[in-house]
Amino acid sequence: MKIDTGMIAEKYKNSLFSAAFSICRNAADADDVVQDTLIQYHTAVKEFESEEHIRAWLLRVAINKAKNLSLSVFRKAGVPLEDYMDTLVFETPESRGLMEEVLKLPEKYRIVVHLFYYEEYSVKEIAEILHTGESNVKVRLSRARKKLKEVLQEAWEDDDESGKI
Amino acid sequence: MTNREKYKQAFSTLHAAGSISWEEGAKKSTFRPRRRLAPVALCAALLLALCVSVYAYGGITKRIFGWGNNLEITQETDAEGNTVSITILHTDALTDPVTVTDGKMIFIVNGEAIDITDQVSQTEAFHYEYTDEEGSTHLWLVGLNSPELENYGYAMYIRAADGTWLGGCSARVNCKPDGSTEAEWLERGRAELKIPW
Repeated sequence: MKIDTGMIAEKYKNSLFSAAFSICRNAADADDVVQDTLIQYHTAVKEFESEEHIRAWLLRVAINKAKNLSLSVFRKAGVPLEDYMDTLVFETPESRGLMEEVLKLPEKYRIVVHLFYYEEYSVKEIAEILHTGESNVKVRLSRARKKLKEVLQEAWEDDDESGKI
Repeated sequence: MTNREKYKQAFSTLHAAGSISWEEGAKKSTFRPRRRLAPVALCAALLLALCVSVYAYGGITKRIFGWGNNLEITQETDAEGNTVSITILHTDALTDPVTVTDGKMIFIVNGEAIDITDQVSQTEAFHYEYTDEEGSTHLWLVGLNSPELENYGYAMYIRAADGTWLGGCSARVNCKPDGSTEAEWLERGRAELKIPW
C-alpha cells in the first residue's frame, strides 16, 4: 500500500518536524528535513505494509537526514535557538524548561527520548527504527531520564522506579 | 501529569512551516530542489588556507572564510585548538552563479557572463574554472535536473595550488543519504574531474 503523499504530508509533517528539530535544534534545517523526507516518500518505489509502517519509515528517514545535517559543516543560517524558543507558545513555563533541557541532552539521547515520549514507541520499536539493539536503547533512555531528573527535579517523574520502560 | 504528557505538551508547540515546497502530484523530474546548500564534503583543517580574517575574543579564535558568491563560513576554535562551531552565515545572500532569462541560461562568475544554454543537460555539466590570486582553482559545474532550464543545479569546488582539494558544495540538487546526488550531470562531472567527493 502507499497513501497519497499530500495526505501523508498533512498528517505527519508536524511529527517529522518535531523529530527533526529535536536533532537539528534549528527550525530551518528541520523544515528542510521534512520536505526532503516527503519528497523521498513520494518518489520511493516501495510497498508499505500499513500506515504504521509508513510512519516508522518516515521517522527513520527524517532522523537519518537530520543526523546527517547536524554533522555537516554547511548549515543553514537560521534563527538562534534561544530566539526561536521565544517565538513558541508554551502552555506552561515548565514546558519550555522541559524542551530546553531535552535539547541540551546529547543527540543520541534526544532521539531515543523523543521516539519514546512523543511518538510513544516501545524500546523494541525504537531499536528497530534506529537499527540498534534494545539494550542500547534502554541504556540511552535510562541515562537521558537520569539527566532530566537531575535538572528538572520534581518536574520530571522517576520513570525507572515506576518501571515504565 | 506523566512524563509523556509533559513531553508531548512541550513538543506539541513545534509545527512545520505552513507552506512546504511541495507540488502535489508532481513527477520526480519536476520537483523543485531546495535552494539550501547541501554539503558535499569539507575538511575543516584545510579550510584554514582560505582564512581571510582572524580575531580573538574570550579565548575563542574566530575565522571567517569567503566562499563562492557571498557565502561565508565561520569557524570558532578554542584555546586548545578544538573547533567549537562551524556555521554558515549569510546564505540567504548567496548569489546564484546562474540566471535564466528569455530562454537563455547565463553563467555569471568572476566578472564573466557566459551564455551556457546549449552547454547544459541532464547528463552533461557545463564546466568552468578560474584561479584566484592565491593560486587556488575554483571549479563550477552547472547542469539540469529536468529538461526545463529553470530546474538547474550547480556545484562549486576549490582546489589548492598544490592540487589538494579544499572543499566544495552543491546547490539545487537532491542529495542521497550516502552523500551522492540524484543529478547525473554532477556525478559524471565529478568523476571526470576526479573530484573526491
